[in-house]
Amino acid sequence: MPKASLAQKKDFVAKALCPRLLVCSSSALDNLLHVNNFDTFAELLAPFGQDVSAQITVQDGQGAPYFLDKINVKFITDFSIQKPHAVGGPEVDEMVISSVLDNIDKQMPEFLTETGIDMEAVKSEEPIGWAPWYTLFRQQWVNDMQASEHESFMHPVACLLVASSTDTDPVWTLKELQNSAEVMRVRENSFSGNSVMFYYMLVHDERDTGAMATVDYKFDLLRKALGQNCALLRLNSNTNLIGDDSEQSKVSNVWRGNLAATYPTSPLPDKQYGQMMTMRDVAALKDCVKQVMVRSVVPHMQYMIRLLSDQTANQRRGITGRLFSAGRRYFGTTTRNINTFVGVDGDVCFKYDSPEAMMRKLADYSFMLKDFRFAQSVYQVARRDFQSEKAWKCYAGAQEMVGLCKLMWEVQAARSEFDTNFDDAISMYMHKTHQPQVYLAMRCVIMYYEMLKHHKMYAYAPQALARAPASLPSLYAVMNEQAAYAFMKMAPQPEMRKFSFYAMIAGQAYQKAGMGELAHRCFRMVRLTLSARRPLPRHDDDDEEEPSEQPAKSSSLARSNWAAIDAFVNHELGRQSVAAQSYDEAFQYFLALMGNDRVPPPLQSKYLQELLQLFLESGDQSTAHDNIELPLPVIDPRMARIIMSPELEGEDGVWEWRFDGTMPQIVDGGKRCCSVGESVAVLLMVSNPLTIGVTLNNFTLDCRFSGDDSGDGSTAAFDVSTVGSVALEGGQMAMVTVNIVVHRPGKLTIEGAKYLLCDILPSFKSLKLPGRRLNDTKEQRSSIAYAPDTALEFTIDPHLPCLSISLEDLPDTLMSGSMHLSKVRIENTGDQACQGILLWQSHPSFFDIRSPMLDSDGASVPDMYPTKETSEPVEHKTVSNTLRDSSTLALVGANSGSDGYFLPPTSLDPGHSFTVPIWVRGDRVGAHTLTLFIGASNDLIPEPPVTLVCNRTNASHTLRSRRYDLDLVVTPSLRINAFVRASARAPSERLLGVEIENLQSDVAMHISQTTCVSGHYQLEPLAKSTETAIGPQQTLSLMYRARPVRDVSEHRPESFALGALQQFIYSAEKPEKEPVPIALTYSTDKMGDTQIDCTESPLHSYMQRTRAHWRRTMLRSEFPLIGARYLPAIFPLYGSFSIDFALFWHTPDKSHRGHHSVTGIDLGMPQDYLKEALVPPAQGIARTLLAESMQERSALVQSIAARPMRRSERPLDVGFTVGEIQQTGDLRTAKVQIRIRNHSWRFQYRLSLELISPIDLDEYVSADVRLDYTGSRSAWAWVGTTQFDRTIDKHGEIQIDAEFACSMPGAIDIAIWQLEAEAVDAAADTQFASQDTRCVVQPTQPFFVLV
Amino acid sequence: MSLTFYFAIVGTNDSPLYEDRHLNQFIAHAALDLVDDAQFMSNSCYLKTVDRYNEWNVSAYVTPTNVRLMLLHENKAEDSIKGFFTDCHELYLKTLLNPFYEPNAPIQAQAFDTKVHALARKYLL
Repeated sequence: MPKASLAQKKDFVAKALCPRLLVCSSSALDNLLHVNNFDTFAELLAPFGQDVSAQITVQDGQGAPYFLDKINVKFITDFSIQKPHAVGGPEVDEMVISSVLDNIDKQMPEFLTETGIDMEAVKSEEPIGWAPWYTLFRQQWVNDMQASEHESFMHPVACLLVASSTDTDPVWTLKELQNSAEVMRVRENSFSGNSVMFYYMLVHDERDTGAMATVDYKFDLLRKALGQNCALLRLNSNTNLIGDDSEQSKVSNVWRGNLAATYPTSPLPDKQYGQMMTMRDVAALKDCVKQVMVRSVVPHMQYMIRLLSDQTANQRRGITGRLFSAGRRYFGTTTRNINTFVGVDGDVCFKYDSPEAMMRKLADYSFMLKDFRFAQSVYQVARRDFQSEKAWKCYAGAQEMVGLCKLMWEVQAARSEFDTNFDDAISMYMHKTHQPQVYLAMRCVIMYYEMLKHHKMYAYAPQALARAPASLPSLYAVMNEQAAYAFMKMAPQPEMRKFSFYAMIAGQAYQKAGMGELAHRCFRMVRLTLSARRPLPRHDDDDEEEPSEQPAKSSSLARSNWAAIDAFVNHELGRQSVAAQSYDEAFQYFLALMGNDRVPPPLQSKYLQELLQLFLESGDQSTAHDNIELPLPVIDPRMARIIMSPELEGEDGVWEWRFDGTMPQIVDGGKRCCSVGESVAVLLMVSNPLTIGVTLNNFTLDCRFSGDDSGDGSTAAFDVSTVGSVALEGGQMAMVTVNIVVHRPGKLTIEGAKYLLCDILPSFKSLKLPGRRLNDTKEQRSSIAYAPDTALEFTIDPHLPCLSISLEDLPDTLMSGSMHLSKVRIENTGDQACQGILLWQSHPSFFDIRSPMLDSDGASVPDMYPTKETSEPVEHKTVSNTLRDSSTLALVGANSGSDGYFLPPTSLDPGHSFTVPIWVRGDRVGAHTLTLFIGASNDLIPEPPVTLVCNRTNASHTLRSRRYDLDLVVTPSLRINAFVRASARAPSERLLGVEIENLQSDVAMHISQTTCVSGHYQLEPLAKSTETAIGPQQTLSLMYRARPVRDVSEHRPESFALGALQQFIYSAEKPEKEPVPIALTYSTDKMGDTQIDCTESPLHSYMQRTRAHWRRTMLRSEFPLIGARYLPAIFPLYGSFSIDFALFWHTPDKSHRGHHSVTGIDLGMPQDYLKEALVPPAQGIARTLLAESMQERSALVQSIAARPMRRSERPLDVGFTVGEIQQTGDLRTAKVQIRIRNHSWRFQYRLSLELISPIDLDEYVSADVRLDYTGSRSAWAWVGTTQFDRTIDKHGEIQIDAEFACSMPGAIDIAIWQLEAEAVDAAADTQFASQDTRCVVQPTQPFFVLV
Repeated sequence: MSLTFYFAIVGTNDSPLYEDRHLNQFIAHAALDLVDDAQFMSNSCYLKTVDRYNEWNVSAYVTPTNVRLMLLHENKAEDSIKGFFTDCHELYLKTLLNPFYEPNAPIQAQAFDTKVHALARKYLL
């Protein structure tokens, strides 16, 4: 096989540059040759010229002996010097192509696999196997070498003349042959100088028994006539002596093997070589050739070497020779013309007898006899002379040989700067000669490359191969491919990126040369190398895990960030595949081209066009059409949304209702359900990654239905709509809506999107995603497992209610306080009665929801403010004091949430509808997003909005619901400031001041009524205001006196809260009791004609809901550690001392009406009574077994204790009542009744009140004492006892009588006193109330007495 | 004087982080092999011209984290190329400081692009 026999690169060069023998045979031998199927005698001898084991000692140029082991010889039949092939001409191209396109296995090199690069293979393999055609090409090139005038290599060193024993006179025949045309041409060639060595051979055909006797005689004649250079060859061609078939084939294989090695590309002729011969004849032939070589040719060459060495000694030796040659050049004008001539290709050459030609011949002969050292020195001398003679072809030849000698010589040190020799040689061949000697240059490159491979000096190889002429693409391609392999073989590690670069160049060149198959192979190599992971030798231990993370994407859609490279390679591969008609593969490559946005736009559109073209061309020939998944456009499955009932507003879904005031939560991360026959919209965000526009046509979805198959097969289970055309500009993103209607219960999964790209290419885009990462079991944790994704599927449940809900007349903007009537229309479009509809509102203070009105009833919506004719300034009403959750309401079904005014229907029958009037009120200024949920169920929802949910933990329902987010902007209308002041007259009374500012710029506002709601106080205006209109930007002030209606009762809400909180903290049983109802006092100050009835629903319940919402919000922020469901059981709705103030207004034309309310104005003493609850009770503390619950409890206590104080506490208040002033002479005296009130919930105080006369004031001045005392200091003084020590109970009031005397009339301020108080029993809880146990109270406001 | 340049920043995993122009990617990519060799021969970050292909010279600059800045250019002006590289390195460092930028991710910032172009005008053109 060629691989085996040509493996030795050094041998390759030696064989290429071996001595040649011209063979001339007499015509009498024709018969013998024909019988054995040979054309010429040279053909017969050819196999025996390989590796002739000479085994002789020869002398080198200096006479030193060395051993010549083997020598090669080639037998030629004709010799002539012709013009060499012009490289680039058709013959050479044909030669290259024929060497390549022969039926050679064009597999990928073994080191490159789909999974990556096998580094071991790269290191161990020889590049020969990676591209076998290069070997063939190389051999072909060598076979084609021709003799040239500048070197003696291709010239025959001797002639072999062969005569037959049948010739009557062999001597004469041989003489004839000596004068034949072929021999004459040898004689006349430039290196022979008419002296050719002849060797004579007599061949005897053993079949010719007749001539047997005369053979020896004739041979003797020959030897006598022609001397010792004679040989007798007997060929035993007798058929009788031939052995079996195996022997015959063995004989034939001698020639066949040689032919296969020498002419690997041409097919073996179907001939039985040597069919009249035996192995004995073969041995005889071999022996004969050896005789020729050892006896004659080698000695002749030795002789020539000696002779030429002597003749050129002067030239070669030192300065003398150089001077001589210089003299001849400069002084002898004619010698030059004699020595040189112009060769066939127009270059200067030297005649045989010139010293230069002799040196060249000497060096060549030495080279052939493997005396490289001597040859190199001679070449070097000759090179100088050629250079000075400007014989560039000869110079280049000498340079080439110097380089080759350096590399052939086994001594390492000799290989210095060989690269310059070759570089010089090739550039001289290419550029300095008369015509570019491309053929010789190419030979030089090949030889050089072979020698580099032999010495494993791959670093020089790419450079060397790059010197190959680029004019012929096929040649260039072969060379660049070899260069690429050389990079692979680089030490210490392969240079893969260089490899891919050169492989790419080779691929391009192959393509240009029309060798698509090889181009494809090269580009595939590039792609595989690029996609293969680059080996990281330093992190060997890390590498083992990584391949699992990088799935084998590389096979189909490998893409790195080197956009241009990828695009180029994929495009070329695609085009090659199209040319090779392998459409499936072509599709793969073109698909990889798509979606690459970093390629310039013209290329993008070109690729797209070609892909479409490919599709049209391939027609039915490709099987890949069904599931082409394009990277274009990009559809992110995460962005895909399924919208239930898309024609209605709001978000449809299944939500969980908890009834504790919190917003319904979406179930199962958004499990989607719909009823049978409903239309469902799927929204997809489709974006175009390219910078050019594309269109998608017939866009639809691929769905899978599973479930009820009971329906007849005639109708499809579902219908999917189709979007006709989606045009996407470059980089654009578009939203595509596809509607699906499912006709049977079951489950529908959306698998992917289907469309025609540019109306041509049917494509499919999978929308599957892995679900959440599973982390439950050990296997799931150790491996990477995902749950199936459920985002793109929905269930069709026939039991789901199917309602058509529409919101009508929703306002965008409201004046703060004003109300607007909106409606919710609900129609049951399903086929089942709907038994429960719930509504949840995020802002209960913004909505006033009235009883649903069946459309059939035709009732009108009642006015928002109920009025009554009679005017009652004070009304009382006892209401439940439970803090209800006001956010959830049942529109259909049972409802416990109101005072009987709200009457929902019990069910909504199919086809029926009703309207729910909703008053929307601008409760607070600003932009708000109000959320409404409407959930429905076909089943009865059992008593949903309970008050105290503590004992019904986690009551919840899963309902199909619809969520609405409404945006509302509330503009300011009135601003209300309320302030509270203690009354100086009575310590239990308060003054409430309200300041109303009209923020409108052009409209006056009329106040029609104010109403205060309180459980403890009754308010009366200090002055009946007559002016009810407030002009634009004007302010109105109202003052009210708050008077306790009744004394502190036992059932005060605060006591309830205290007890419940204490129980909550310390007891095992959580509080469950509802607070007792509270008697509320409505104090109304009517300013208009009619009185708005706040005690009646719906206004009453609306105000209650508003308060509940406010209170819940406040409590949740204040007590975050108390669960929302316990709030109603701990905190009542109303407190004793807080009042709700409502102000009703209208514009002059009454087009806008509304009310403002200030909820929770605290008229009581600011004090933190809840701290009382923190004191552990004497008994009933639940034992906690777990440290955790202990911690929880202490955290709760801490959080309550650490709440910020609103104001400084002031447990005691002092009030004065002055009796009648009595005058005795100048002195006026008056009794003063001083009332001291203890507001504390905790402490009984021991107090000491000191009344201070103005004269003594200075003693008491301290930082926080009032200093604005303006009265005359001597005008009055306290008389009688001025120091009182008393004890005061919780919530107690004591009365102290005092008296003052005044010397002159006038207004005096008698509020000069100091009260020191100390809590009795304070030691019990020093932990929470250090501030209150001991305090000094001083007057905060004056109390004037007119004397 | 020719005014054609190609500039690329190549990350540690051999994928380009930033490219100035889609041109001759092959040459820059192939030159990475030579950068790998050359970086051990030199003490400085700037490796000068590491590769040559036809009329193109490839200059390289290796940051301490093995991010490679590659410049394809036709003329030779080592000083200005060195200046260009140094400033680009600084720009890259600033990009790395961005908490939203993941190392070895492609740089898509418009500002980076503008600044590189400004540097190119300053040093190269």
